[in-house]
Amino acid sequence: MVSVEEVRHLAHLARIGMKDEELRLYAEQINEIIEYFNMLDELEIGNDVEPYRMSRGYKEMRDDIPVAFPADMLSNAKSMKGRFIKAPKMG
Amino acid sequence: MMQADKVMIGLEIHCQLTALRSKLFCPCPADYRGKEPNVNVCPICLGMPGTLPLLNRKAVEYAVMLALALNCRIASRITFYRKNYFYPDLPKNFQITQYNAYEQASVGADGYMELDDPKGNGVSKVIRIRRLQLEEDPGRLVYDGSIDTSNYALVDYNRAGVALVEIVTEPDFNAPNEVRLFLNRLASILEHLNICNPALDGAVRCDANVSIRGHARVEIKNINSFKDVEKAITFEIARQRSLTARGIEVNSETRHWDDARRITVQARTKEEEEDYRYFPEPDIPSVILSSEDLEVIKASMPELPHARVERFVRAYALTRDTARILVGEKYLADLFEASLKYYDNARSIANWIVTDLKGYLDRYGDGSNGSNNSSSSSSSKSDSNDNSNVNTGILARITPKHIAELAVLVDSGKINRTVAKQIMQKMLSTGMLPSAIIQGMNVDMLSKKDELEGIVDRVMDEERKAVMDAISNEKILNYLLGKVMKYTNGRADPKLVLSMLKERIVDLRSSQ
Ligand SMILES: [Zn+2]
Repeated sequence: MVSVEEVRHLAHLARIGMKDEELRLYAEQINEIIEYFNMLDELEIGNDVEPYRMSRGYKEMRDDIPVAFPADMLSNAKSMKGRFIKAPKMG
Repeated sequence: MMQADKVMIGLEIHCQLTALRSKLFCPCPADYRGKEPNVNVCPICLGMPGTLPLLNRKAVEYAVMLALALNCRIASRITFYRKNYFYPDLPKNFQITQYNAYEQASVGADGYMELDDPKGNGVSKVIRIRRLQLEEDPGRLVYDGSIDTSNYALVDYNRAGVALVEIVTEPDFNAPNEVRLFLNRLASILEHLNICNPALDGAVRCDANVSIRGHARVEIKNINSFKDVEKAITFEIARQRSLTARGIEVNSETRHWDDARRITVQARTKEEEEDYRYFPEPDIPSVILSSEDLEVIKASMPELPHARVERFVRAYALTRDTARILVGEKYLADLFEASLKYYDNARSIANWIVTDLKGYLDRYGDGSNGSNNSSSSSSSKSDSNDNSNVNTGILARITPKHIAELAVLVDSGKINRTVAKQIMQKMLSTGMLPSAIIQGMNVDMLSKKDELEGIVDRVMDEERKAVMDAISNEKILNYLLGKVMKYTNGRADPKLVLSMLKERIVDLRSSQ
């Protein structure tokens, strides 16, 4: 079970300010989600099943060819100074 | 030294794969130096929802090469992880990196580097490499004014997503000078593999953990050049020793290297390791590296510094010491081998490069290997295919032909070493070939008596007091010799001048 204190810590790590009732609400919702996933534990899958992992051969990867993205990405930025994106200073 | 006083140092080194032309997970150009902010960005490196990272094969190839050069075990399945933290330089709020908690996911693990004994007695120490991994560089933060007075950060994401190799060593260093030897050797390996140019500003960064046995460990972050690592560690050891000497316990903490004040200062701690909540990156399939793939990479690897030193000793009959100095800075070794094509005298060429050229560079500098010249980002041209020589100063002007001509002029007796050194100065400052300099400066050695009689007589005449002193004290002859050399711009044959001076003094003595 996820506690309110754990959610408070996660909120702090994500630099999000949350009120106590919000923390309680999210802790409750997170617990519901985790409980829903618990259904997977009840599946019959046998004993020696290798977990599926996506993989790809070395040769299939991208070549090192530079391509500049054609559109100016800055049009979506909210706050700019020159071509810099303005962001909060972190402690 | 008491055993309890033993110092233990470990390193965490970040090397940008500056030879790559695109970023690690997107095709944006990787060369961000000197660019307008936020021009090399795309939805992938800005972490837009719905985008998929695409791994750069060359980055894996380069990381494997470096891992092999550091004697690592190579993962047959290379896997990426997300490291979660929130900071404006990280647009996705996680960094794609590698993590070895469950199996070896990182490109390399359990390697080592042998350090040569500085006195030339074989291997003096083995430093173990814990892991070597690929990860993405975060963006760059700048502040209006200073970080303390500004109330916002300005972000440039051109660097975000550039490929880094992180190398983590075991805490096997016991002294700062061992760290220097290691980093110099690493820089030489990077240059020989031609995957990272350590002279580029910010291309190599180093964190260090330092502890005195029996006391807490301190992390030093923010050391932005290999040159400063030794200074930062030396400072930190002195700080910890002074604490323990006064009975004060060392705090386990993170400190920053303050480049301007040359001290380490306490840093506000970021996240704890568990707060990063590493988990496998679901958007990047693991890379399967077959033994055939590995063989292909191995076969394509350039000669490594260690092998090159041995070849220089074997093929050119250089001393191991000379060979090491040459190979220690790749451009010197390259210059040496290229000069031999013009003049096949290895010892003579090596001598000019190791003693004279390197001596000059050590003294006056020219962005030599391993030294992070902070101005290099503005002055260096972006030549990302061949990044082995981006020096724009002296070394850009000096070709193998310069070195060969100089050596030939001296070895053939055309000029003496004094004149040769003058020519070298001029050659380094102008880039003119020695043969051209010689034509303009009338420097052939004056080695005939009749060419020198007039000048010797003039000095005897002008320096009467010294001449009188020389009659009773032959050491004064060197002073008179100096005067003759000055009048002849160093062109006179010193042995001949000395014998001419002696003759005259003997005459004077007998006539007294
Ligand atoms: Zn991009």
